[in-house]
Amino acid sequence: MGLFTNYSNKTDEQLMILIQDGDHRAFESLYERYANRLNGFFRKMLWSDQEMAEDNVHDLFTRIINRPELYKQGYDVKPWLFRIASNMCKNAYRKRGFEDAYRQQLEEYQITIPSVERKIDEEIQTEMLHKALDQLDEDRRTIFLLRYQQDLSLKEIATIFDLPEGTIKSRIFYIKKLLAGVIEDDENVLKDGK
Amino acid sequence: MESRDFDKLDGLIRVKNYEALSVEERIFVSGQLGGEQAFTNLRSLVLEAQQSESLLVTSSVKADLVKQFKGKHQKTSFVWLGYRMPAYAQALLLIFVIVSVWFLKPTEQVIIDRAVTVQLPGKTDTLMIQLPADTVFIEKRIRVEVPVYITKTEADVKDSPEVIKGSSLSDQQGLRDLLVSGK
Repeated sequence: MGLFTNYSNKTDEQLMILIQDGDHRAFESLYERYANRLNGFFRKMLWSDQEMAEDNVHDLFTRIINRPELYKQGYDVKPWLFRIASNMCKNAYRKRGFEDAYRQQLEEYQITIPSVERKIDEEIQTEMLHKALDQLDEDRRTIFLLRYQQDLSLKEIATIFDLPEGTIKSRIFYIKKLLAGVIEDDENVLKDGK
Repeated sequence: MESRDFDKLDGLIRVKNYEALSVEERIFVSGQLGGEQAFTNLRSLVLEAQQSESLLVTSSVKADLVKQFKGKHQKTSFVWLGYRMPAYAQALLLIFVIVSVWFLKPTEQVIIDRAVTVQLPGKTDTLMIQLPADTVFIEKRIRVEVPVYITKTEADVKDSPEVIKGSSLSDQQGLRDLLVSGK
């Protein structure tokens, strides 16, 4: 676009319209705003696989390059991007049939981890938290990460899932209780295993 | 769950350790989640998620994407000062600019050397000042041929002294001799 355009002042939505017009600087600006966040999201969603996360970031922006018309004026860009990301994660799960395999892997891991240590040090605690998150189904994990990792509002999450805000709120509350329960259960497992 | 309770619990999880909670807040947390352990674990999970919000992407990803983008969009069009232009329009614009510059080019300036005498108090000097052409006086001699017609009125023949009426040729000859000789 114009040589003297200040892209940092533009909204995401304005940038998307410029991208549809073929403005590569607008594309770079949007990339700068969201690439790292999407990378963090993908990494958490896709089994902490950094390479896979970056591949997905690349694929997501490639879709924007090839099909910019998918963005319709009036959409909020942030939820739109995270909806694409969320769908990509679903595809990844489906494609690899990963979820079952991964749960199986976790179960095996659980057997080897405890290492008979009574003290739950920070590392194990973190690992347990990871497990707790991984044990959520993909929609709940997505909602949790969008809310607490990406700090999206209830409205934005509702847009992504095409659900009323109240439903999202209930789900988040349920997820919180579930996670709290899962963690307690895991600790009990470790205590029992001593 | 009430909206107020949801926001309150969210706020507490994000900002406070269990130890920092007031008695009232602890009672609230117990009612919502079931106790200290649940709150602490959930808070750890939320903080851990917040820390991983952003993760640097390798720079080559961006370079590749920008290359793809340019490759797709700059073949047939060009964006110039905020306006997207097709290639043919660019070419036409370029031709128009060249032609305009050619015709609007200013004529060559003529510099005339002129001596200007400046009188300074107690001092006389001559300065050479170069000035652009101002008013030019051209001296021309124009030769114009104008025909002049002079009108002459002849005296009446009757008054002519040379014709003497009533005399013979010999008389006339004698008279002429007399007049010429003056005798």
